[in-house]
Amino acid sequence: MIIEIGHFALVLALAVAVLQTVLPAWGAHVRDSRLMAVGSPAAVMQVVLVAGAFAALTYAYVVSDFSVANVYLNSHSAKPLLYRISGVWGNHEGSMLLWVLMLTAFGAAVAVFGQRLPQTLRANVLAVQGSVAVAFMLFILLTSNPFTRLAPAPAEGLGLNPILQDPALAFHPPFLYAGYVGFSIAFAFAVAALIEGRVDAAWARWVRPWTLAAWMMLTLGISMGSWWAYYELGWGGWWFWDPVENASFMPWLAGTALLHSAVVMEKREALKIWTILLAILTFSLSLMGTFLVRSGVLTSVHAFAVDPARGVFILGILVLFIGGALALFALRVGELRQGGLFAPISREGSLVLNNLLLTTACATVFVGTLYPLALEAITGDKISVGPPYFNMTFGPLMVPLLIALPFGPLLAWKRGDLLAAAQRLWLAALITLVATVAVYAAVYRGPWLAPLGIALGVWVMAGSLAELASRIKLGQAPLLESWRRFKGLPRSAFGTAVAHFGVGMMVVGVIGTSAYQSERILVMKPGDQAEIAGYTLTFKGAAPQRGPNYREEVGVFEVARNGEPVTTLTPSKRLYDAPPQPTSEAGIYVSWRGDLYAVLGDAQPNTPGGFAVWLYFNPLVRLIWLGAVVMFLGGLLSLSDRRLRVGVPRKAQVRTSPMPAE
Amino acid sequence: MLFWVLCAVLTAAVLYAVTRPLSAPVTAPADASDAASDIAVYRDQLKEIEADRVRGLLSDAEAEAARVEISRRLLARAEEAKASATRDQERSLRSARIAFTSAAILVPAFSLGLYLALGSPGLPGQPHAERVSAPLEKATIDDLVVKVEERLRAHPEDGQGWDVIAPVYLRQGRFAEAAQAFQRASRLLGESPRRLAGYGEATVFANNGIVTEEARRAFERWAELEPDRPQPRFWLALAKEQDGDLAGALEGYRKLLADAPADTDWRSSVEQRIAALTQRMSETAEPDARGPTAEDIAGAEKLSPEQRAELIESMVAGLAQRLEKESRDLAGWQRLIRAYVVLGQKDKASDALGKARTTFAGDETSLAALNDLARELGLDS
Repeated sequence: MIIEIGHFALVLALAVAVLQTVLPAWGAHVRDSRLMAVGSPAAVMQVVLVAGAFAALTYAYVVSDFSVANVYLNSHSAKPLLYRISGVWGNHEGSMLLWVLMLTAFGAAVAVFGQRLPQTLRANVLAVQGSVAVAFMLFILLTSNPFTRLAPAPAEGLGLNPILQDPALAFHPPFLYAGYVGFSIAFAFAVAALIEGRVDAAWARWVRPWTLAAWMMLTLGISMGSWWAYYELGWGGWWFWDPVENASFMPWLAGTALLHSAVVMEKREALKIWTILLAILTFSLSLMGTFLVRSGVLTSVHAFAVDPARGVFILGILVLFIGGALALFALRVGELRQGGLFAPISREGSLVLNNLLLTTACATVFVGTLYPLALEAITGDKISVGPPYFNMTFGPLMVPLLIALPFGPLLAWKRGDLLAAAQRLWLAALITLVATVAVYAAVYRGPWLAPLGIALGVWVMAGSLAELASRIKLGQAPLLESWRRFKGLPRSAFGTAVAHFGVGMMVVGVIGTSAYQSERILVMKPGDQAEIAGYTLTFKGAAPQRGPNYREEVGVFEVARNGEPVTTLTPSKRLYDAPPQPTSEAGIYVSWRGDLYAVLGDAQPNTPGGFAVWLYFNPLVRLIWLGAVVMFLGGLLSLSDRRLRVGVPRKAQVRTSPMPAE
Repeated sequence: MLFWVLCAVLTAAVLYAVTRPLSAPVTAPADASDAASDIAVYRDQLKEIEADRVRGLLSDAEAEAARVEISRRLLARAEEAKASATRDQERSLRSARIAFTSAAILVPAFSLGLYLALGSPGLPGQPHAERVSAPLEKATIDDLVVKVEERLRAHPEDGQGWDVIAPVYLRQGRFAEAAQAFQRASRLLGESPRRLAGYGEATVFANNGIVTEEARRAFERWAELEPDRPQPRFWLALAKEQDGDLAGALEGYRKLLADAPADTDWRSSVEQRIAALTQRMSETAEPDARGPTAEDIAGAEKLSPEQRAELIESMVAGLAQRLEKESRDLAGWQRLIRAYVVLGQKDKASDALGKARTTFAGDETSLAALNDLARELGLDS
């Protein structure tokens, strides 16, 4: 009965979502505060109902109720509890329910925290949120219902895909979805502003923190997915420009741009129209990511044609919301008042440059992801757009962005002084130069551009510290004064510096591991030794072993460095019982220098006792995920700073008169 | 039924919460509050600038510049917010009424309709654990049993598996297999009251209600482990009754009844048992298998020779009848053969001897005992 109550709650939530769409919008249109007030309790009730439905489905998974088709298809009574719970969103239907749960939770957050929002704005925002919820609940109920029952119920479930039985992957989708769906808030605010034909002062105050929260979740979600792919798939890589990855990366790029333009808007009431457009685009890309992953288009255009119901439905949602929002944008954009003006060289100007580069980068990823699909759909030719394309297009776009990054925070609002900013960066430039020379000296072999790439990362890190230093007048004022200023700095300033520092770390990690990865593929017999990156690996042999729900062949490698034993790596090849599927568990030794990464391949029949072995050394690879975590923490710092953000303009005459450096 | 009540309550509660604002009094005019909210934001920003100035984050000149800019926005907004007339009360009330009525009708109708089209209201939940131990639909349990059996074939050492499947067999009426499964589970995982009970009861049912020696031993151990449980004591009393120890059985039943709480549901069935037993004892229709008790003999002495002969006849007949069912009772056979000889029915005695010999074929000691008896009574000649 619990399951059926959950099902009914979901249907009821749909009815409430319809109310939430219709009544507040009607109220906002005729300016009736009673009707508008329905939005808040409707949003709260909706999250209660969807949470109830989600809890009912989770219950069905926990008790392994195989009369629920979704549980039967994706779970097994012998699975550990964690994976029985994560199995709820380890499949299409359940993950869509999680998606809607997040959506309604964000809607309820607007209702609860937005009491001080202007009434009509809140009503319109909630109505837009409600309409998105209506579309996705209809999608779930009509094409992907997780509550479909089986009678008679099968005795045992089919089990979750073994490679998904992993802690990182248990939490990857919730974070990713929180990111995707968080952008719906920005979208709802944008559309509400367009409906009203007016951007309130409270608008950007709201959009920035919510965008930031969504961006943080997405950052963490993507990096978790990348980390999982790194250690579970056994390819030794961490990012493959795979369409599924790109589907989450595009909203991230657009969201990063949105985050920065929302700052401009909150502080300076400038870039209003652009921010609204960006908000629409970011959520559109989130929707498109959902479409690409959920419709089956990515595996093959033809898979989409085989079971078109879901794909066509999401495509319909896509067209309705993106098309509708863009049409509304085209219709209303003329009525919006332009925001403040600013000189090209200014904080605003630098953020515009950031936006231009990020959206262009996003566009290149978009083309690289969708062009092969479009080509296959039209001509039937299958082409593969791989890393070379992205390295040639995306990479060069990042270079000016990263070079310019440290300048941005040092420029004043409205009118900036590039020379003054550059002066404050001389130390960072010096550090970068030293780092470049050091890297060239240390690794004289290898790609000649790579040290410059690493220098770029160092530049960003040093630049973000330089920004903090200049804010507290380090070295220009007495230390005590600097310390006083340091303590007085708002957390948002630290947030900026920390997040930018994280970007620098990530750049160093990416360049380091891509340029200097060493790789060896060889056949090893027991007793054989192999050298890689200064480590000596001795293969001690492989032995079969039985796990709780798999059999595996475990290889044992003793690792030594300069004759000293370091560690023992035990990569394995697993074959799960249900469903019978092979996975490979990499053996990874982590150090600051980089990761030693060993993968056991197939047994070689020609060489008795011999196995194919992949060995990698990935220098500095940890910095990639550490960088992501640091970016997340930077976001958290900024988010915890609840102050209003006010951008102080630099007066025109200030430039003419000589002035001490701030 | 409960399900529909819950759905109705849920719908009503949600509708109440959502439509409550429709009956609330109108607060501030919408336009005015919009402008007020904007103006409040600008005021907050002005306060923030002052706070930053005091903290030393902004210089006086910077604070002044920012303040001028924000004041300019504030003035512009205040000008814009010409208090346009809010919606008049009458029309607002009418809209609220329309909204409420349509919500109150459409939400339940829509939810019910869509749910009926998609849901399976009658289908109960079937948690895995419950399905294993609770009565189940035939079709699904067979699948389950097949799966577990498969596993047990591969892993006969899996005590859990036997433990899980044993009660399933019991419920399916596959008593012999249930008994075996319980026995294996006990052997692999150790004896427990549940397993002993399952083994004992399965054995009894497999033997058409006769409490065999193995079952009796299982019940004895169960009673040792759980002295307060009535079930093993009941079974042991029944064993005595079936063995013909009516007095012992009666004592067992009476003790059981004495210890039983007043409101237990099995009380009446034990009382019935006692009533039937006392009646039988007073009739003495059922002969005592272990030989007549002192009371029987005392009673028999008062009877006429004809009546006595009749009594003995019936006792012997009862013993023979019991041995038909419970054939591996050597002492019983010996007593029966001896009784026939005493009654002068030599052919019946030889017959019984033959039956006993076939029953104990292969059992050397029993056969030797039977041969001794035959020699003593001169039956084999």
